[in-house]
Amino acid sequence: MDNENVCKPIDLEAHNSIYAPALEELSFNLNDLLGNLPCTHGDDDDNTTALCLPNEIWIMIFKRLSHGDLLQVNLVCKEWCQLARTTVLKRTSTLVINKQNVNDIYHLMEDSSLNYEKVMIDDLLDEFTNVEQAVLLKIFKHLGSNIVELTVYRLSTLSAINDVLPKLKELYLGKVRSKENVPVNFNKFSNLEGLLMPLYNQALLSSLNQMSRLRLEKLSLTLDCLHQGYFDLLSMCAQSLRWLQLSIPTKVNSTTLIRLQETFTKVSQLERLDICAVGNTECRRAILENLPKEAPLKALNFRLGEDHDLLELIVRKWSNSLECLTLTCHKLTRNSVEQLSFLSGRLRCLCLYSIRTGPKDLLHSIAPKINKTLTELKLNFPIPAVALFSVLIQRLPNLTTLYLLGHTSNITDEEIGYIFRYLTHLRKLSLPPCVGKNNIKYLCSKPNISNLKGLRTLASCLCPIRVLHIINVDFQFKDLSQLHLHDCNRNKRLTQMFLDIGRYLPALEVLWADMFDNNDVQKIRESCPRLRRAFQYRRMF
Amino acid sequence: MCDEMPNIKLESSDGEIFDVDVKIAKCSGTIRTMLEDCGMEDNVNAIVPLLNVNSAILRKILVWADHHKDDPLPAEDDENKRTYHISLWDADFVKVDQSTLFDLILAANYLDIKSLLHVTCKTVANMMEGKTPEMIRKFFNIPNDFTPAEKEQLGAENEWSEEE
Repeated sequence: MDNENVCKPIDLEAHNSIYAPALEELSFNLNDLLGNLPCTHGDDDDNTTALCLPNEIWIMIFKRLSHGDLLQVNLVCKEWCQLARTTVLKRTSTLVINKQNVNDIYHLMEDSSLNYEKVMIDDLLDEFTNVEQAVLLKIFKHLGSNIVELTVYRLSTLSAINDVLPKLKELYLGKVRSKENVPVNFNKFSNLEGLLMPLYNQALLSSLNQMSRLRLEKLSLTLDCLHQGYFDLLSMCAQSLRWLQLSIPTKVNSTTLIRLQETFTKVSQLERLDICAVGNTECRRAILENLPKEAPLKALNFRLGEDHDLLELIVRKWSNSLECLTLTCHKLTRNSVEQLSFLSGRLRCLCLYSIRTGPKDLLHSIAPKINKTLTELKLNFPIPAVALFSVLIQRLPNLTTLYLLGHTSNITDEEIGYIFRYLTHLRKLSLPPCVGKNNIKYLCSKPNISNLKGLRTLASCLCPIRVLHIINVDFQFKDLSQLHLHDCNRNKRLTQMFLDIGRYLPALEVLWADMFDNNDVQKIRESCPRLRRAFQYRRMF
Repeated sequence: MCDEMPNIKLESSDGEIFDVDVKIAKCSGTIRTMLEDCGMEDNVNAIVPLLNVNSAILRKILVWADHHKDDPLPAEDDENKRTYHISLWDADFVKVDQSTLFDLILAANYLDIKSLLHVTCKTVANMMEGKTPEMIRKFFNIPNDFTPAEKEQLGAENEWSEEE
């Protein structure tokens, strides 16, 4: 029907093609762009080969693949391998350079180009020798001009490659030790927008304080009251900051408070603030009271002590912009529950770590009624009784991430069943070990995990997957690339089924589990061809 | 209803002429640009030759364009390319053999129809999901041109990168 209505093929003997000149030019340009004319496909489909699509098209297709799928593309043929190395596609992956691969990377670069925008130099445990550091420098002479994000663990390493990182935007120095005393020339990083240096380091601070101008948008640091240089740094970036993670020791002096108040009145562009590591009540208050109401705050991570009215302050100032809230406290007060309840239709992401809050308050805080806005929920609570849990789950139909954390909590077969029945959009799920007093047959009678077709990351005991095996479901998780397995009462020992886990998880790339040895890993690899990392928890007997 | 709308004629690579509602033809950025540049939207006799699209594919594309003619224009760069939802109608539309799918991609690219290009590319990407290199080669009929040594080297290289 559609066909008939839309297009009526007609025969025209003579057509005056007035667009011809413009079109010729256009199609010429397009052909240039495509590289090749499309190949014509005859009747025999057997000759169809994927390589007759131009490279630009394949890049468009590859952009829509996950990291794990893209790694397979590398191994298909030489042409694709080259394509997958283009910078566009490397934007989401990080090259990790360490003592083991530094020479191999150098050799590879001798005869083919390598493009990464994100690099991590992992020499935390295994330090490079002088020779290896020279190789590293050679690598960076090629690679450096592309690098936008860099993670280093040692200032000596950073200092060695200081001059070859012209495009650097974000620098992660999360694990640099405080005693390492090597100067860094920050003037070489003229595009620097983000700096993460949560640990105190005098040399870094001095290097930074020598800068006359620094407009960071992203900053993580520890304010040490004894070093005013930190306040100077924070003050210098106050107006450009969009993302700030701050740690302040519990004991502070009055100067610190005054400087905090002064500085935060100027932080007017802030979108994300993490002050979970600010232990001092007065400091938290100084920050949140002085941060302008106009700041477009979207995400906030903080801890409530006795200062529960701070939550009210936050709601009053930023309830219109706030999307993500991470809140840690001992027990939510009545007022805090009401505040959270008020935010409940507005937040996209909520993390609540409050082990003493009762189940009814929990329900009222998160979903007093059906909450379609919330997509991510992370809880460290004792899981409420089944009836309440089922109500909670049913009121959150759009959840894509659910983490139920905490060692004290266990989950029952009923609760697992509710999750699998109602939360079918989940991509990330973390379950505590199941209580598992019932025979596993009981769990088999509940809705099973194959309802969660889009799952990408799973942490649970083996039971949900064992159920698939027992009831013999023909199902594969095509996107599930990360699995954390912990033991529960029903599954303490490794079973044969576990080795054949790839039957259900063909895309598995990373596995954390207990109770397996190297032979097992070999077998798991046969079953999961994409498995790249297998970590063992510490054996516990 | 269609009587009121101006039509234009599109000529496929194999010489077939299609009489098409301008609004539908304008799903294509290429045609839109041409019409605007030449200012000839109401010239009934004008024929636009589409050198790279044969009649079978053009017919299909016009079905797509008709179904999507009232869609809002897509945002310039969709950040969530991986998760973007494909509607049931679209999914059904691209249930075709591989060579037709590839022709649709090429035509969508040539005609600059972003939504169709996305859906067709995503469909091919979905076909590759979860497959091993050998399965991908077989699926697309691609010869394996790696020596075992090269394969091993690349396997090692894959170990070097992490997803952020």
